[in-house]
Amino acid sequence: MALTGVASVLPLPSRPSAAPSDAALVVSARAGESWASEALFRRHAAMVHGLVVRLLGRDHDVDDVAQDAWVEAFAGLARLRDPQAFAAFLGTIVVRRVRRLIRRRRLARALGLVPAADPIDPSSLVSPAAPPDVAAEIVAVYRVLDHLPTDERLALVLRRVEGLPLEEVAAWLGCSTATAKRRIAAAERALVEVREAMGRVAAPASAKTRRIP
Amino acid sequence: MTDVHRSSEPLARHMTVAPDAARIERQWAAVSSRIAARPLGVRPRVAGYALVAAALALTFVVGRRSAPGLAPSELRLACETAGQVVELPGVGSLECVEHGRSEIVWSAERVSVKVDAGAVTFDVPPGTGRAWSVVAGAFEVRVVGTRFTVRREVGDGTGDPAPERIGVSVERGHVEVVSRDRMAVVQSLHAGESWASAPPPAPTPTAAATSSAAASPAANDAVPAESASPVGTEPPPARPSWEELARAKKPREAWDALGSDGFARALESAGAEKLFRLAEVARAAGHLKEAARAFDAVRRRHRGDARAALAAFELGRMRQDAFGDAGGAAEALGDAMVLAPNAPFREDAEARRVAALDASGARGACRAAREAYLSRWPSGAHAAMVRARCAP
Repeated sequence: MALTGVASVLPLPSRPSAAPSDAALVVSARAGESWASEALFRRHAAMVHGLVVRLLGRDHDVDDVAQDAWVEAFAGLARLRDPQAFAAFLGTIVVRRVRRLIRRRRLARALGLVPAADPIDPSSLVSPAAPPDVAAEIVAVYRVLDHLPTDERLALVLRRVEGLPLEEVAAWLGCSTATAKRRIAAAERALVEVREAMGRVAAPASAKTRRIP
Repeated sequence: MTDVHRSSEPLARHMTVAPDAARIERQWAAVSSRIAARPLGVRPRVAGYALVAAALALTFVVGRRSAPGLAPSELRLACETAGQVVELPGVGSLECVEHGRSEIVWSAERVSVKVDAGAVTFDVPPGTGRAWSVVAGAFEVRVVGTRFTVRREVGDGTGDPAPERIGVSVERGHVEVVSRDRMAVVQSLHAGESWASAPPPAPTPTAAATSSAAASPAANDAVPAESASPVGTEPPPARPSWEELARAKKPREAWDALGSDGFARALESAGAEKLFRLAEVARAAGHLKEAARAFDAVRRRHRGDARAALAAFELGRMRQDAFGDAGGAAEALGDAMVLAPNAPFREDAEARRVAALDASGARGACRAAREAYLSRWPSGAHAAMVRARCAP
């Protein structure tokens, strides 16, 4: 089973490659070279898709959000000051798009315009090859997500799931480091409660048996 | 409280959310069509022009309603940037398909467009109640209801003293090309036909005999209308241009003649014919990536041109054979089939697309493509290969 991890999630450190850099592709795409846009898309499509799924916790609306993010990114290439930072630029757009979608959904639900969403099924997200403690942690994170305010939810995923440093979490969320820290701390407190509840229910088996079917 | 997982490894590494190739292809198809409708880098300007056009159009319409007996208002617009679209509500639209300079004057009776440089594609629905006239150099194109492109080349951007050349190609409908000097119809064009002017006579007739081959326009898609114009009186350039070398079957020399940034400049400004030639030069000179870029530019920027389908097919072949990009090959080959459903290379394109989809892992699409090929060509040249593809 293919895994999507940090290597495809985050901008990679520079390494020898025959492929053009993101900066070169961005410059060409800005000049209207469609091949460069396509190359950027193909290089980062899996990252965008994975990030959207992990931020939402569900597969619904993933394609719409990803496509909107791509279109916004291509339309906004002119304001990207550091062309090599395309991946982070794209990630910021994805986070903003997901935030907008989650807030819209919540508002629609609060107004009774749409029925309550099915709870996130964390088991669908965990790789069969994941170690038991990691699988339990993923389950805990995704059980708590729907109960968190939107910004805390996004902060938790970026920090705990994507493994971003605090400064990048703040940058991707468009807030200060202090605010990001506060949001992560609040989300972590909720996560502790979920973990404890899970521990009370399944502590004896958790080390050996994953909750993944 | 026990902290179950505190390793520095992100949880994402242990999650299964990788999309399959077919999903990525679907996403790209959707994204590319949306960004094609809103070209990169020109969006603010296009939006600005659109706003100005809308505002002026509103003024114009209001003016007509409130004072029908007055002299008609005029709306003046410019089209200069490749990808810029000017919508004239209820009248038609035009798109600058190449960077250039065009002025549009829209009045109650007519729409007049002066193409000073570059190429513009017009989409004029019939029965709008306004006469369209497009002026390019010494020629005027009279329109009824149609989609067509007018190009005026006043140089090839590589420093060569290229003569002015006017080209008209018609996708739908019917236009007439009129000589403004003689006020006579030079050429009547229907859908699928194109025409190009011969270069004007050189100021001095010296050295006419030595340059006739090099100075004549490429005529593979053109009917020389101004047969009275002496062709070949252009004085020989100091050194042959890349196009002349390409026509002389000297691709390496042609590539060298392009210079360090000649390819990029030609890629940016050339029309379909020149782009296609550029791609062939690049390929023959061994510069495959540049060739792919040029073929891609032909099929994306000149979709109404007869070469677009072949360019897409060649791009697909290169992606498949030279770059190992199966997904990209499938996309380009599919595009070739869309652009020219009955092209001579259709069977090859379909067979190659099956192989490309198979290699990219798009099983569902592969099976559908395989069945389509086998139903159309059950005993085709590639039937055995196609049958062996898309195994479950």
